[in-house]
Amino acid sequence: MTVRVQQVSKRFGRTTALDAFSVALGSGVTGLLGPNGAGKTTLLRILATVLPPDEGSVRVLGLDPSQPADRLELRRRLGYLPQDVGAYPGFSVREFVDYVAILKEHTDRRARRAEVDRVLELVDLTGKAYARIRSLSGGMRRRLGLAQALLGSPDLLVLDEPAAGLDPHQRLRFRELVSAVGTDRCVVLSTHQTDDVAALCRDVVVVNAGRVLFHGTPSELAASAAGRVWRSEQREPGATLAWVSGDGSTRQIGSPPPGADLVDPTIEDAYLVLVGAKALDDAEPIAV
Amino acid sequence: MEILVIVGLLLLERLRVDLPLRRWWARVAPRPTFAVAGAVPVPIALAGFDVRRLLPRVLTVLAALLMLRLVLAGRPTDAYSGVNETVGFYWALVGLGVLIVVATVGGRDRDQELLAAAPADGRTRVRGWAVTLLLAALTIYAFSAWRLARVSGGSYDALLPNAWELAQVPLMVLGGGLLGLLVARLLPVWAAVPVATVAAIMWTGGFGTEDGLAVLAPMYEWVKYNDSDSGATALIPGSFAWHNAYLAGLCGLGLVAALLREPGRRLALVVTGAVLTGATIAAAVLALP
Repeated sequence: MTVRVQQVSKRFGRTTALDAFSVALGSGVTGLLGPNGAGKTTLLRILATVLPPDEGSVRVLGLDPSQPADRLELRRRLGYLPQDVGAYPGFSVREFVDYVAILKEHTDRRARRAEVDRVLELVDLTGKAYARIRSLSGGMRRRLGLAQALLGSPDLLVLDEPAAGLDPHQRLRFRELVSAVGTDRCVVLSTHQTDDVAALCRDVVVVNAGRVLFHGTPSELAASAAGRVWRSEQREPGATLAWVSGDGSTRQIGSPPPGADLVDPTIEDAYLVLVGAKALDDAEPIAV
Repeated sequence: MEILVIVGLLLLERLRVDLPLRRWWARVAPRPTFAVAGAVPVPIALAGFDVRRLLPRVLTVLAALLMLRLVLAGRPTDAYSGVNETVGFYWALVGLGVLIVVATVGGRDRDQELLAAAPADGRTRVRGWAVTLLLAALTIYAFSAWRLARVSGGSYDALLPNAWELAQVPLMVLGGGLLGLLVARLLPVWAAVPVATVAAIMWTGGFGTEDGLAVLAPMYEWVKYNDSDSGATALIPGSFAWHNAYLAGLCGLGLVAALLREPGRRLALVVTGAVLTGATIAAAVLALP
């Protein structure tokens, strides 16, 4: 396994971000799904060696990040895209990637120049290489973050909401890019986009309140909601969530009545069954 | 007025007039362009990166023009100019300029999550700044030595600095940069830059030039002039050479403080800091009249 997390807990004051969290991930693309505050970002920060866990053990690429020598070696083999890249507004695109490349120990200037060109080309930012970062749109900044994460073709790619703010064309390009990386290396990404998970991920982990609710393939996740999704003319009492779909029928998730017109669940349906019901219980009903 | 000048310099510092030029150069430059062959240590690569970024800045260009003006100037006619051109007060402006630039840009990676996952840690980045500032200091020292050779030979030769005394300006530039780095890392608010700049000016001016404590200021002009015959009459009491040792100690302390700000083992740095504190105090005492 490329990533092995065992009984890891992390607290911030009174808030428990991860609670005896365990997961094992191999090569390929793994998607983390979960509501805000579920613990996804905390887990990714721990994998990226930015945060140490309070309890439990972590092994990544066979290395123990709690040991300084292993941590350094892991950082050499890691590409990390945090939720907030925090790129310097006064830098040009090329300068920023060049700077990160130096910090990733690409200190041969000629080779570094070629590598910076390569990753800018991968994320389609070559034409903006000399634009100041403050002039970039949100989607371009996200691609810039992705470019620096791809420097040096890392063995492990940790991406926190990488597709946020990308337009449809760029999202397809992002999928192409990440799936290519995931063929022989490990990619762990968090997202709120269930269609990205369906399109990209070999594995999916659903996280809520710092715990694993589900770990399996996307099709297994979808199948877990079988018998819980149906369609009818109007909202039924057993529905936890219902909405009118494009064809005019009402798609519903919850406990279907006898004889309901069951439909094949999607990953999103399954996610809502696992997580959404709890969230909806806590929420105020929507008045229409 | 001084505040307006500082704010103006800060605004100038943020201009990036070089980017259109770089874009054009990237289009027309033959490939492969000049590059240093082979891998180098990360602090040196970082220094190279910052030198390439900072060289085309407006403040750097202004400083270079000032130096160029001195290069083209002829031999000074009196002691006042002769001493000033090698270790004079207006070099303090260069030190202040370096303080402002580093204080403005040196904190860019403070608490930056992305870089916390990079192999080069915070201390490596501080060492990168130290190498950059050392390069600037060495450049200024070489220039000062060249200028010293050109101005010597006048009636004021006895007042001119020797090789060690000439180190005041580069040490001040190094110290100004390290002070800027501390400001950037420890006081990450915009107002800290002008406050630190004004404090540095007051540190220099506050001691006065005639008082014996003047030797504890970053910039110490040690010649007393007599305006009536436009010549130098005496040296101000105190040791100029020990003053430079005191400056070197302050630079070392600045570097240790910047390194201590970053995570990592601290014992060796604390011991080094303690030794440097003792040495700096001793040098300051020895420099006093």
